Amino acid sequence: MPLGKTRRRLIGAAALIPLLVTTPVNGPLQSASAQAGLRPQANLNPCPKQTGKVNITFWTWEGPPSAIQHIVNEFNATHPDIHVNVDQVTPGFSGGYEKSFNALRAGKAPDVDMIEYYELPNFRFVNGLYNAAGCPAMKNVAKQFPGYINSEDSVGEPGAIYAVPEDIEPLAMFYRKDIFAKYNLPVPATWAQYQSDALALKTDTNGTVKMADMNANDYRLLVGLDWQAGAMPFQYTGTGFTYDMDSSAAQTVANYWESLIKDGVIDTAAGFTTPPEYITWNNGTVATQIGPDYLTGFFKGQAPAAAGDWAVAPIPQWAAGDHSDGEAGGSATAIMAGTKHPYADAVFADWFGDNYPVQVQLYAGQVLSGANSYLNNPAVIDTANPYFGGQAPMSVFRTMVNDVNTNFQWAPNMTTVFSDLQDNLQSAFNGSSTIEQAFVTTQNQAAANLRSLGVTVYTK
Amino acid sequence: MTTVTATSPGTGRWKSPVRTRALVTRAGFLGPFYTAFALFFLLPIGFAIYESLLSQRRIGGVFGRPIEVFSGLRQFGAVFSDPQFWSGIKTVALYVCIQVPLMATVGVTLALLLDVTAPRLARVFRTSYFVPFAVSTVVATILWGTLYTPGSSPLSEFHINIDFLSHNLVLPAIVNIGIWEWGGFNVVLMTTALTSIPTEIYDSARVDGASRWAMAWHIKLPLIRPTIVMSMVLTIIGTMQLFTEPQIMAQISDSIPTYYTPNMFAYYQISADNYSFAAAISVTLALVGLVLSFTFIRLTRRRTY
Repeated sequence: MPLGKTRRRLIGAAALIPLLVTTPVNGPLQSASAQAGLRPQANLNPCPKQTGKVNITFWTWEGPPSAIQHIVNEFNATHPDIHVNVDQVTPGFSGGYEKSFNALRAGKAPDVDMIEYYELPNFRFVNGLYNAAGCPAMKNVAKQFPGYINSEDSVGEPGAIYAVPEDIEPLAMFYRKDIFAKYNLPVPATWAQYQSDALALKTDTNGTVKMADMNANDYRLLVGLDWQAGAMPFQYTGTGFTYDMDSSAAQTVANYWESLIKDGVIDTAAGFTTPPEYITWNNGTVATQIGPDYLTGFFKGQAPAAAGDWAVAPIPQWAAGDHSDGEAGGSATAIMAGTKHPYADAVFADWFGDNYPVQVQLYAGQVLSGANSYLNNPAVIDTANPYFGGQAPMSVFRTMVNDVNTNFQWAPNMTTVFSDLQDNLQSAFNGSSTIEQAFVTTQNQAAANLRSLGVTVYTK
Repeated sequence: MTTVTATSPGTGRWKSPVRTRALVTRAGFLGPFYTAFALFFLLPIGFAIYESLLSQRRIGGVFGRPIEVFSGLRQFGAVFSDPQFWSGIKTVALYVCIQVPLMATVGVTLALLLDVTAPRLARVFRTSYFVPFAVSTVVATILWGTLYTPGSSPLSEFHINIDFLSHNLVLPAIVNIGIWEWGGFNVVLMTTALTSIPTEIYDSARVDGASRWAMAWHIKLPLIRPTIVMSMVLTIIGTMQLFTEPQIMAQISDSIPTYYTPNMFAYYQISADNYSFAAAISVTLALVGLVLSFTFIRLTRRRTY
């Protein structure tokens, strides 16, 4: 006698149970080759051209929102078969990444997300990224952007493309040319000169004008300075990972800034892009600011009273004649795992990387796009910026791009590393610890976290 | 309406349909509540407990495939041996010890004072105390944060430069925000309790020659005791979960690490991809809260009830 309908249905359902049990808890299965860790991919993800019109979602915190909507509208108008819906989200480092991680876990991630370069390995770590190297739109990415930000977007996997670069953020030195002129200080080309300038300034102004602002909020800047000094705090070793946050290069940087704090030439009440810092930019109580190019927009918006007083110079070097730099920031447009439209995502990500700042006149001169078409275009790079008294800050940053050390790598748990570093630097800046100790403690905490997630971790 | 008693004899076959209807009625009224209770309360708690018993392993190197395995109480071991967790517990314990008595004192004192004020004036004051309750915690923290920041604080106009965001003052600063926000709510709670005291008691007390102070101390306070206890239990449960104020103030203060309170500590585990660790923290916090509340209620219980 044939089985009753209900019993047949039950057996059918039971057959699915093994699938439920073996599917990993963390989201869609990654392609087999991506499991290899660092070995180059043999099989690329399929990237079929979609039929008909597709809607893709794009999360970003780039602003102003009206400008981004304008760019997206232009894309939608010129690409009739793809419609991009853009959502403004909290900046990643202020909680936006937690939102993206949760969305990935829930299977509700956007198709395309704005992720800073340092955070890409963290997303790859949770299998949150989609390797779009097999998509036709990605064919020319290698030629469109400088080599090292392309390798940041491969996340350690040669030939992979998880994201398309957006901007590029090498470090340079913003300085008050009026203060330097008033006290006859040479613009420092070395860190030794920087320190003697700082001491001279302290004597001349009785300590009212500080050389720089720095506190626990400058954790990304400090890692960027380590990068400039040639440190490699995060290294992929075989199938494991090594933390080396207390190398001799890192110690040099830590001890240098520690001595500046002891000299009393650092304003430790003003941290990176916080309101107290903007006040010091405005009222002339700080003479320099080490930072990446996106700060040019911050200066214009937050320090209008000092318009015309600030200028940009190359970052000081450790040895005279050196050409070495690091980065602090910069984002890419990443394609997220679980997306149903990789072809369209790739088209948009590639277009956005090439077009975003150039299209928006508001943005021209306020951030350095990573696209070669922008970097090699003197008409755009050499645009004078009225805030900087007619200087073209981007031409300085453009030369710094060539100086960035290209083998730097980021850890797979940078969100934890950065939040631990920020916490530990609080003790360093309130006097109960040192910057070097903050790096050592952070290293131990980050290693413990990574070990608890099943990775073989070494510490130097 | 027929009332059905389970023990009515001799009504055998007539009992069933009526009783079924009664059961269905009961289910109809209670059903929605229990469904919501199960979905939004029991299920998430059950899931959190389940999640806290797992931990992560990796196959295939750093970027290999993660799998979740059952690991018993391992995550709880990790929680109890983590100095950041204990630091958060210490902070919250201090916050509870300051906030709970202070909140009760503020609520009771103001309510007693309003009780002996002219009714119209009392109403004006009560409303103004209650208005901050309508302000969301996020907005309140941003507001007070601006007042606390040395550069933008109005105190700096008078050259009083106290850094309320420094290591020693940041917790009192957070306590202040809490009192401002919920003090009025407690005043309303106590006032409601006070109005339920029959006025004959005051008449007889006045006949006995009691002053207003004596009436407050010997009559009003003891009679609103259950409300005070309930308010304190609610405050304990709320303050233990301290999250919003320090989370927002961390953006302007240099003295608030990401593990400042256990709730913040659990939240930041998301970015560390340590959901099971976060679940273990939450379960621990819930158990601590349960123990604290029950102990408090037992300690303040009297023989009369």
